[in-house]
Amino acid sequence: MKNVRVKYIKKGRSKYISHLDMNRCMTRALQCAKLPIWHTEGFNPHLFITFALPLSLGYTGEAEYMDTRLTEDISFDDMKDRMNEKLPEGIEVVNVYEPVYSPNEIETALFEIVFYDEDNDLNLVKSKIEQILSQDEIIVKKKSKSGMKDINLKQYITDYSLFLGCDRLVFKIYLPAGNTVNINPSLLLGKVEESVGCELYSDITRKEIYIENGKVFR
Amino acid sequence: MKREVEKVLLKVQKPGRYTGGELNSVIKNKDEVDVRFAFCFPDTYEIGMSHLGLKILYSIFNEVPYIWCERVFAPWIDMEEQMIKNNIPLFALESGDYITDFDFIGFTLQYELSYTNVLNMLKLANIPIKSCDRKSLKQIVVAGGPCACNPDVLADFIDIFFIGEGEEVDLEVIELYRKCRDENKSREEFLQEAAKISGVYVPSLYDVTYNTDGTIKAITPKGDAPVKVKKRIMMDLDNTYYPDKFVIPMIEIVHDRVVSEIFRGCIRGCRFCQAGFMNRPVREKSVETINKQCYDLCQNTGYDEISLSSLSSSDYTQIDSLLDKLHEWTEKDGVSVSLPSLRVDGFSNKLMSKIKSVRKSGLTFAPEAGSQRMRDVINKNVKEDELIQTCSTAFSGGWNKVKLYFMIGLPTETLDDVADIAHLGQKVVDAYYRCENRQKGKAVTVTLSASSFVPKPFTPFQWEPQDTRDVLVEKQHHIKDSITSRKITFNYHNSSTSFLEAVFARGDRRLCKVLEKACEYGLRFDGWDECFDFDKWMSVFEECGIDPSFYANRRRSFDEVLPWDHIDYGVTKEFLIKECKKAYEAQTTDNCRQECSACGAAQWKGGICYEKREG
Repeated sequence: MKNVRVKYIKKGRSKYISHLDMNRCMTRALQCAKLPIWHTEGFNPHLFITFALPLSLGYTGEAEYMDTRLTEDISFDDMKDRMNEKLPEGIEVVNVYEPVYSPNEIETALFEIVFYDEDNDLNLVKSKIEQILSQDEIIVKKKSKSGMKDINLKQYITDYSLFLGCDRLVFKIYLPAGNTVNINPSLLLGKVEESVGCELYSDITRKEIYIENGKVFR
Repeated sequence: MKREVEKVLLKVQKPGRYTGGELNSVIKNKDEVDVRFAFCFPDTYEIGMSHLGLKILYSIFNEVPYIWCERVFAPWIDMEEQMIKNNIPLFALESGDYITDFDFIGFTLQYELSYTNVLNMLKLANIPIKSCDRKSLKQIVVAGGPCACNPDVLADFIDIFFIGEGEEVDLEVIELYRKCRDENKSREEFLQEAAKISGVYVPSLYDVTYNTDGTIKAITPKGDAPVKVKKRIMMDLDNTYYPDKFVIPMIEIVHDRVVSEIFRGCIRGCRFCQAGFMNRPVREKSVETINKQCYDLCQNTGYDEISLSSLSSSDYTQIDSLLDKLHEWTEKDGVSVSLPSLRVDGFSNKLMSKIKSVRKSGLTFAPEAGSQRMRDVINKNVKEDELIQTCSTAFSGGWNKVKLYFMIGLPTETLDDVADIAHLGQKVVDAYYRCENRQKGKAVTVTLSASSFVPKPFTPFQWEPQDTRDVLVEKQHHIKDSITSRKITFNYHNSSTSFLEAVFARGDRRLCKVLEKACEYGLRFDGWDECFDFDKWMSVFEECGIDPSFYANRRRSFDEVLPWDHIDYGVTKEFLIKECKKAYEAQTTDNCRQECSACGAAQWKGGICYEKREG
């Protein structure tokens, strides 16, 4: 028995597969590819898969991770190819390897939010983002187990960049992720939208996931 | 995917319904195909993707290099709102292209309550909903499926109906279209040519006249159109195309598994059942064919569940050897096999042990009527002791949930007959507690489910009135009041949807204006409680000056010209009249395997009509 980690990309049409459906989708692909995956031994046996960090519906993921367990030794490259044959458009396995870190160690995620010229007034959006991020407090409502709660986003924002190109505004930001605190960039974007005063359209990509001291999760 | 579509996707529930891109979906280069076909299922993605006919025709069309067939489903109301607000016409899932200028817009008509969705989808696609407003040789709106048996209800909207099984006729029409376009023929010329193909009905080529009492006087073909349009049928199922892959949905759908048809048609002849008469004669697939199709599908889809589909699975002559054959590989591959549509008298210990891999969630049987007299009237040919015996078998096998389906409002039915539905439920409960091998310490649950009978064309009950809604409600209450045990749950359906279904099931061309108006008023998804608006429907009927009870609640005489008399499914009217008269006498008819009743289906010179009979 060997634990393996599958690193994949989720983009295009596949962005709209929810986390629950991702589970089904991966199970199908593994089954269809006839890979020797270990089945759980509970009342209702199923393929054992677990995801490192769920991705919100509609986001592109460039560094997504799924762990599973093999009952036989097979080549990782072979596993990658066989999965890619059976995955829907937009989900692509880039690498299969033995896990290095535990998903429990995940601390941060890097998001890239791109606003396009055709949908938004880029200068306005840029100035509003700068203005919000320079405030001492950024209070937003966040859903928690005990209902809606006011939280201060400011404490979680360590590093970001804003770049205005000819047709787009690229906003990169590191946010806490993992078991303890998880901040979705949509909380901040809601604030920006509120202050711009109209609907904003952007493409959101989770670029990378990190553990402590900014080491890339592997 | 188009950017304007992407922009709205995060504002709707289940965006996965609208993205396409599933494994095994077919992408072609649009510059390399001649014919674009939009296969429209007039309901949501989850329902439409569960439909076997779509899977078969999607694959068969796409096997032809010059055709690109894409899927289109009715957008749910939240998506519809976004599409209207943002000027997004209805689009096909594979290419994301708007279907407005497609060559063919094809609908499958599975139930009457989806008719408004057909119109609404055309409207959303910016296609003129009326046939007469579409002028050039494109946007050919075609329709098939069981409801095409009474096509005139949609005569104003649909250019071509396919009658019967579509595997061959659909392709013949597409090929003809391609030829006509190459020859610069007009839309009218194409339709006239198409009408010459067997199994094709072109409603614009027929005139309908009426008597003063509102009944039909005559249905007359114009020009070369045939007087009667005969259904198409595939006689050799072993050599009929069947897909070896299914499109694998990314979101959860209703029936998410491998489906293999084991036979078409039904030997039984239950008198309320349209499918049982329209799909005659019974034609079986061989064990080898089914086994291979199931195996290939499992390989290509990754599904771990197979459903053996037919109108009555236990009537398949080789059921035991089929299950044995499948078990040679399903068990070790962790694939489970399920048999829906089991008859009460077809559930044996042996069969049970073979489908044990199925989770013991519940068993469903359809005695259809509570009293023996009623079951004889409808020719269900199931005896009470058989039901009790079967339930006891199941209880000993560890089941403790049974669901029983019934219909109320059947011809000649009395309040005593419906009370017997409750009594039968009680007898099943009693059987559980008599059963010594039952699961100890577990209570039994018996669910009785009663739907309201809708008389359908091409059945012996096609002349019958539907019970009025008041009578149906009275019967529902009477059943409820006759139940004394808390182990019994009783479900019943809204009688007003059944009423609307009855109107459209046996309607005629005059209902087109009702549908048009209903679409104008924004009625759609009538099969969904959250959208069904009975009062609005009634005001549409009133505005159009049409009395819906003329269609639903009126008894027709045997010599009345019926709106579907120019459509021929092979079963003769004389046979249906004979069956109807036998029903009044509560006389049963033997099934096709016991004895031939000369229904007319033998004209196809195959299937059960030419097999050796029992005894």
